Amino acid sequence: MSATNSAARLSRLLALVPWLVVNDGITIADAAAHFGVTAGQLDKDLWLLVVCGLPGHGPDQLVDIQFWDDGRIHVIDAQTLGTPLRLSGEEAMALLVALRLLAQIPGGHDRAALLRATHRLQDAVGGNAAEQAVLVEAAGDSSVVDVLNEAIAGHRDVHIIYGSATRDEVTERDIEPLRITSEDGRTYVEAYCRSAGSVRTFRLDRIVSARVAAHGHSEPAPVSPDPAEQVSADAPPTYATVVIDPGARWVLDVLDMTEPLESADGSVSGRVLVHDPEWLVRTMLSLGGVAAVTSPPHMRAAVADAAVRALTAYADLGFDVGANP
Amino acid sequence: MTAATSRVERTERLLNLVLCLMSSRRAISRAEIHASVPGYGAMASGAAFERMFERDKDELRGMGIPIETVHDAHGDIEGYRISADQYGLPPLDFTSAELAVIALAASVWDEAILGPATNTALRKIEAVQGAPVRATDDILVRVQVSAADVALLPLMAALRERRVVTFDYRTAAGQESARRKVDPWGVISREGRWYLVAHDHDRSATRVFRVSRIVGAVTVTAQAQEHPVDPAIDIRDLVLKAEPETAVRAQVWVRAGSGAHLRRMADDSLPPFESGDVTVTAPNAMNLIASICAAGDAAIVKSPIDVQGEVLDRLRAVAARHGGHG
Repeated sequence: MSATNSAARLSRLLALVPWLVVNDGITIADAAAHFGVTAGQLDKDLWLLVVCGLPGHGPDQLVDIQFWDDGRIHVIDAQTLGTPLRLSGEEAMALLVALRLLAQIPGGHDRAALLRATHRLQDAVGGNAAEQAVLVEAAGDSSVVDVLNEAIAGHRDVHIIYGSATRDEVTERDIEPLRITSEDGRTYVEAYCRSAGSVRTFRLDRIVSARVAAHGHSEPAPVSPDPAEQVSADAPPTYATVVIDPGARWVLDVLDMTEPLESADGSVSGRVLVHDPEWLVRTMLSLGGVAAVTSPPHMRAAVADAAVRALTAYADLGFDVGANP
Repeated sequence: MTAATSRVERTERLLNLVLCLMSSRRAISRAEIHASVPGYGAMASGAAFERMFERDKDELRGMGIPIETVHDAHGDIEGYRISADQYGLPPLDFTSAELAVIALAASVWDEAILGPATNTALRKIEAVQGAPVRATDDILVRVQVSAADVALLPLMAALRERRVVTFDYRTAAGQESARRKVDPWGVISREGRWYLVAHDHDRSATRVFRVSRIVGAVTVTAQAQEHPVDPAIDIRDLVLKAEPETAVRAQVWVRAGSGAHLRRMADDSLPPFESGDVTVTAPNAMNLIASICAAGDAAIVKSPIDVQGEVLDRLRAVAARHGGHG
């Protein structure tokens, strides 16, 4: 049974009162931000609270909150709501799964505190959060992780051989690893890349090899990472139209299509965001002809060219590639 | 429902019910609840009140509010109460280092998934600690959930409550979706994909589902699980075993400075800026063939011959589909 809107709002109201008691004099805007709702919604929540109370509903039995004078909130009488409700199953699960995921990530954070916090939370919810049933894997080659950790601890540079994300190129780089992060089960290292002269994010499973450099840092890394660096500046993103054969709907799992449309014959077509044409070519080659780019013409031609060039390479080595080409 | 009751919002009625049941150590009878909680309406019929109260009581218990049913000496229901001891979050006394880790953990979830639950959890902890859990800009771990994985929330609820769920599921190859009825055992995120491990009722066997292939809404039924998870079972292991992989090897020539993906799959190491042959191990033939095709003319598979044949077939198909001629 999933929670109704009333239940979700009631959860917030019950958490709101004790929090306001501790944060006496906070503004409506600040309180709204802490609860992830708009100021207007929080105002409505407060108006609802002040008409509720113990049986009888006399002036002394109502929840009494002052918030209309100066936009600051003061709880005068919380009635029985002064203590927060114990954590719900969903709340306990949210925190415990996240803590377990964090424990998989090597590096900077306080591991002893992490384990203590996990145990205390488990005790507080009586070990019934079923958080073991939700698992997020932080994948990563442990030998690469070990090298990076050693470098982070010893303030060393690492020499890596890295396969680019969208092109099938191998590059050599000297990086100063700053920290290891994880997103959606993929592990990344944020590092100052000496070759690029800026902070870059590298996916661990694309690092072909890594070794710690003998020398320490030659220059300090800049303080603020520049996330924009990660976006390929080679070409502005464009869209390609792709059609998927009937019976090959699994392609939708690998190709993120906006508004896929199914035709009467069962084929599916839609637009695909292309940051790098090279990526589209590689993807279409890997799909082996169950999907095709229909436009723009130059991307369609680029896929055809790549396939023909590959076939020609086989023919040049003396392999029989059939009648065409 | 009478006009008088419909004027009171449901949330207001639920909140007044909570306050009423906490107001005294003694049990509050149904008649008292009917008369004193605004929203039930003194004029509503007994039957209408009973239905409304039953639904409200279930909803509050579903939220984790401990409503006790108190029986009298004859075993009849005397009334209901919420004891402050059972309701309240006990003191947690986290140290500042522990609070810092909790703040870090709170930044993990996407707003679309467990964001709101994380938010109220933090506010509750702050209220009993009397100290803020400082928000952190230092996000180490982030779990984002795509729109295709909306089924996760009801699945997580079913996992906690050990309920049976039903949903429509489309298989990898088929276009048709079919109704499934399962006991969820766990959900797992591996390399950016969410999987559900469950006992399938109709097939009487453990099955692994991709959450993104669930079509439409997941229904969490009132039915308790017939085959709940054995605590000794490793759900991660089940996901790995569910897709049995037969490793395949191939001899592949790769061009200097490219073929990065295949080089990582190689058993032997070739200097990255040299062309040459490597032996590649892939988890299965499909994965190998797709990886070789993707590399285009930067990789030439020499053996086994059936893999080469399949790669050539696919490259010809791609050329033909895109109007290419040799």
